[in-house]
Amino acid sequence: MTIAPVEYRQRLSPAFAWRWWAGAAATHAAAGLRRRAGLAATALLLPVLIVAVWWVAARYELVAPQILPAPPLVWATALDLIGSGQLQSELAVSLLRLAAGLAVGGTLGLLVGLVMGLSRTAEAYLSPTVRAVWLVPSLGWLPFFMLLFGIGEALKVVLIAKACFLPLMINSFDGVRNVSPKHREVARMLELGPFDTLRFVIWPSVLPHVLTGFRLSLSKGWQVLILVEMIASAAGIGYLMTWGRKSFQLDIVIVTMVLIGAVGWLLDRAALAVQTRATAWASRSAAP
Amino acid sequence: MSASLVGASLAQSGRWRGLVLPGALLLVWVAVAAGGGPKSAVFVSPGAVLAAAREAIESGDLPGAAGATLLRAFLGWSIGSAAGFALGLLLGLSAWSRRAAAPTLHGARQIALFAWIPLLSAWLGNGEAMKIALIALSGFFPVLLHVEAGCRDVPQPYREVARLFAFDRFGEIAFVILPAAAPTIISGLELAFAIAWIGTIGAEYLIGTGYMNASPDGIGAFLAGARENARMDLVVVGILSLALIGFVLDRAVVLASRRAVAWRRQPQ
Repeated sequence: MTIAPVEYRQRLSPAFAWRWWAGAAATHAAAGLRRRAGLAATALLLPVLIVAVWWVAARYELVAPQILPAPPLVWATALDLIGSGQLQSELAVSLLRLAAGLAVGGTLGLLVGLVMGLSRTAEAYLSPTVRAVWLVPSLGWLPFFMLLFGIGEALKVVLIAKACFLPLMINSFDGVRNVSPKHREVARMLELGPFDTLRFVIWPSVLPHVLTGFRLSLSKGWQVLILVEMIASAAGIGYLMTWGRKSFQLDIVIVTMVLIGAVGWLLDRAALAVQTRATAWASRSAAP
Repeated sequence: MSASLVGASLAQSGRWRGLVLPGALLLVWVAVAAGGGPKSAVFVSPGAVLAAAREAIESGDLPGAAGATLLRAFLGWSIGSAAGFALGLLLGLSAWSRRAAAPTLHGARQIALFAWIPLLSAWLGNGEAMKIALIALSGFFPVLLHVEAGCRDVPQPYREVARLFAFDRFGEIAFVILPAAAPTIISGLELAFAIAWIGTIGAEYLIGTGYMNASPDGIGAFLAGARENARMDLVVVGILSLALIGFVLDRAVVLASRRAVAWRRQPQ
């Protein structure tokens, strides 16, 4: 159920057509700038309001300071954590775990997805088991893995790998299955060997799907990383947050929460940038 | 259907091949257990798991936990969905409110669900209110996003029909926009339920267990307790029941939503 995208509708609107036709590019740009500034101001309204309420509530101690630290305190804590390098080192630990889990789980997911996509026999044998295993959320596997692997580094990597496996598997599987039959025919006509078919025909059409899966894996992995660090860890950003909570330093909790949101957002943006850059040709080329 | 019929249909459809791997794994497990098994505290035999399952069901622990979890998931999902629906409607219908609130909401959405626990638990304590709040939060964002997108993307011709009928704003929303957005909204509710289910397990697992004291119940707490006592048999029982309930819930939600938007199922 796709609906005409906004840009398309805008392009059809008389006002837009007129402006385009008149070639009033300069006024258009100025209006765009003003519009953007207006948008930014509107977007900032709510955060500013929230911080103002927060500030007032903390200033007049409407809420106990233990459970609502004042904004300046949170700011000072953030600067302190960055200045001492603790925030960076905890973040580095977390990102390293994410990278390890993604490398293991993502690669396996990619391979299994490709194999199942290429061979219907493999799909028939593997797919029900894989589906059944993934019926249970990562969180459910956590106690099992904790008993099996202890609470060391292996636990984190295994759990993150488990979370990263599925999105990449499903997307690469879909990618292989959606290779246009015409492209396959071309490969047959050119008498490409199986390896060349894979390299020049299947892989290019699978790549966009793989990158979508990668992006999903990244965001899933980040969420699970925080979870496992909150439960069983002595380092990392999730640990820092739980530690702040246990010692009732909610300023640390708020700083880490913001950091978790910001890093999650940045990772997603970066993955999206890679995706658009690597598959820019896909949107340019004609539909199969 | 008799067993032989089931067998015949399985053989015919080739779906038996999906059972080979789980069957082989089960055989290996049984064989290893029969051979004495490795000398390890975490190895449990299939018999032990069956016995634990029977014990957990007969003592009422497991059904009680499942009931508590389902009730909690449903309650939290209802609250979160209602809030998400109201706010999504507002954002979807008013461009100004979307410009004002969407960036903040999208920012808040970036924070991993379970990262809310430390802050919320300081505010709401470790009791039921906290768990429900977390589950509601988990269901809130998917519904918000889907309702907003659904209402915003109603095709222009539909809106023109509303104008043609001289509907007032309420009539336009009730008879044109909401029906047109229904499939999107329902898939948002579906997604929210799947996420709320995970959120419930997480809330039960993380809140009210360990150092935080409250009355722990639900499957999450069941799993946490089983792990704390190093009872691998109970952990396996907990995981199996999670899989079973997850499967049944998924089917039920898909059936219910198919029925709810049956008119949209024409071929595209």
